[in-house]
Amino acid sequence: MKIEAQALTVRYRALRAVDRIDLVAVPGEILGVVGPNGSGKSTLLKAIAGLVPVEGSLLFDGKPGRPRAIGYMPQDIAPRTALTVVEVVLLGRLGRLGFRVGREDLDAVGAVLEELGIAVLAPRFIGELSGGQRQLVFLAQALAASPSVLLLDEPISALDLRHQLEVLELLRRVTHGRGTATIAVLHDLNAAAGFADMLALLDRGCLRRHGAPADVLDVDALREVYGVHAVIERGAAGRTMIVPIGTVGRHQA
Amino acid sequence: MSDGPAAAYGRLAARRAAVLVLALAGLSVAGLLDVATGPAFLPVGDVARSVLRLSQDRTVDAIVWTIRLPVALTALVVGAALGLSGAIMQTILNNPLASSYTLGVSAGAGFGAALVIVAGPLLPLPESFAIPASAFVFAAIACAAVYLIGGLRGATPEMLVLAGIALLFLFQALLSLLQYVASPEALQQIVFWLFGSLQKASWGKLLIVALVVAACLPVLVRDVWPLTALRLGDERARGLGVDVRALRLRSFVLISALTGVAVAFVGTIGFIGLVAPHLARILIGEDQRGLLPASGLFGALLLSTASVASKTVVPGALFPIGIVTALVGVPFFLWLILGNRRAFW
Ligand SMILES: Nc1ncnc2c1ncn2[C@@H]1O[C@H](COP(=O)(O)OP(=O)(O)OP(=O)(O)O)[C@@H](O)[C@H]1O
Ligand SMILES: [Mg+2]
Repeated sequence: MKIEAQALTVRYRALRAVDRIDLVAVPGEILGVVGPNGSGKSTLLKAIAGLVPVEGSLLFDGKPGRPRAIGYMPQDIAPRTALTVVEVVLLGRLGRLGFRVGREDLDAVGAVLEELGIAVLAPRFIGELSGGQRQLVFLAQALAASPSVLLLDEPISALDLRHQLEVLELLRRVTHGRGTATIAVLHDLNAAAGFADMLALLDRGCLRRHGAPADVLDVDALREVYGVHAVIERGAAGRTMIVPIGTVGRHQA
Repeated sequence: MSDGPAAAYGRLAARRAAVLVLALAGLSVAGLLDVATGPAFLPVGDVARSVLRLSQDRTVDAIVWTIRLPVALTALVVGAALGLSGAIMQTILNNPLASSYTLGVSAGAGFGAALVIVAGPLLPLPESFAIPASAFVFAAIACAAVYLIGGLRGATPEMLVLAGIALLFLFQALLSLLQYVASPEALQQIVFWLFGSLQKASWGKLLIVALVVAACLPVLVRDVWPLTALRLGDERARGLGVDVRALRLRSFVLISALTGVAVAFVGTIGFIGLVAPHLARILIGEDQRGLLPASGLFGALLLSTASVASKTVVPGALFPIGIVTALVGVPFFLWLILGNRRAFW
């Protein structure tokens, strides 16, 4: 499902956390959203998910109505409730659950948990997991309904190296295979450059750049937006490597 | 392909079913004992036969059907209403301390009852009708006030809880004021009403309570999944497509009806609404398809047990049920929450 934002704006009182952003996310592509802390990445995702009031226009396949099948994964969430992992992931299919949980629902949940390698966590309480395990559970929840739109707020920030790769590869498989429109906020610029098809660079609520990763992440952008002096190397296997050298100028979050 | 998670879920569901069946069995026993105990103890076998309409004994039938059964069934239905409303309240307010008792709804009902008792002689209506009616109306007013005041700041759980606590103090102060100005007879009647009592139960009142509870059930059945999602927090629930505001409003109406009708006829019986959901949560978890019925069943079981206790602790005397539930409930509640170290709240 294609997502088009035009002059999308979100205000928190006087602050424009998202400031007149024009953006397109197309089916079958991962759009990575990068930018410094407080630049409006999470707010942008919430705006698309319909969790904050917005100004401007937001179209899904050319229509203003938001589809039911949006898989949204929030940035940080640590609920303490007596719900087990399998129940939490099942809730990702809220719209289609009948009073009795069907075989189909359980199979879908089982498949996602297997894919993310957390099937063994199924009977555990959600409040008794580590941060990274929790992150995987809520990723599983977002994926559980096979949504046509995936909005992921830092899906790999708490994961170990292996899980980071597994998740990013899974996202590519899902996005390209099912034609999902995926928007993922990523802090790890190397991961963003390596796995996203397109990148959007935010700075204080505004969209500074939007395009192919190599065009978005260059030395100038890193200096201007992040205040970081970095070198960019085209490393092994054709991957872009961003190596931070030091800070430049004054910078504030 | 994935036997693990499905099997884990199957075990959860089986456990849930087992707890529900056990609770149902337990409350059947408690109900029978409740009918059997009284000024004259009836053998449980006779009681069971009479309840099942198999008895030949006219005296037993008379005692059971005209006096004790309405009381025993009222204990069950009122207990269920209190347990259910407590569970809904804890869920939508995301707070383990929430119950109609701690958030001013019962206090509102108590004030409504006291108002009629004090002003009774001035009213054109018979007190037996006016007291429950007024208690019900003031429970609804308290509920509406909690929602409206809390709603001024977006009806978040925190604001609603704070509003509820403010109302608790308000209604308690108003109640004290009424007690202060009341005549000695009226004062005694108010105090007695506040203790709670099942003895005024009748088939007619029982029918009203049962109808209100039954009317709430279809709404709850429809909302079980959204309510479960709400346990992940407001924002996560909204992200999953739940209209949180509407859900909360709808739930408040249910709480108001359930609590109102429960306390209207039997007075303020505290504790059940707080304890039953905790017991249910520990044994069953937060899937509201299990939690809500279990809270209702445990509420019924607890009140029925308390009713038996109120007749048997001091032989020949009848203890006010509200005092018994609190005396028995407090240690039980402490044991429950101290013994459970899981990260639930
Ligand atoms: N509920 C809120 N009320 C007021 N201001 C908010 C609220 N949420 C976020 N903000 C502000 O909006 C701006 C954007 O926040 P947002 O969470 O979108 O940043 P972000 O890019 O996701 O940052 P991070 O990388 O730290 O997650 C920040 O300045 C933040 O302080
Ligand atoms: Mg963020």
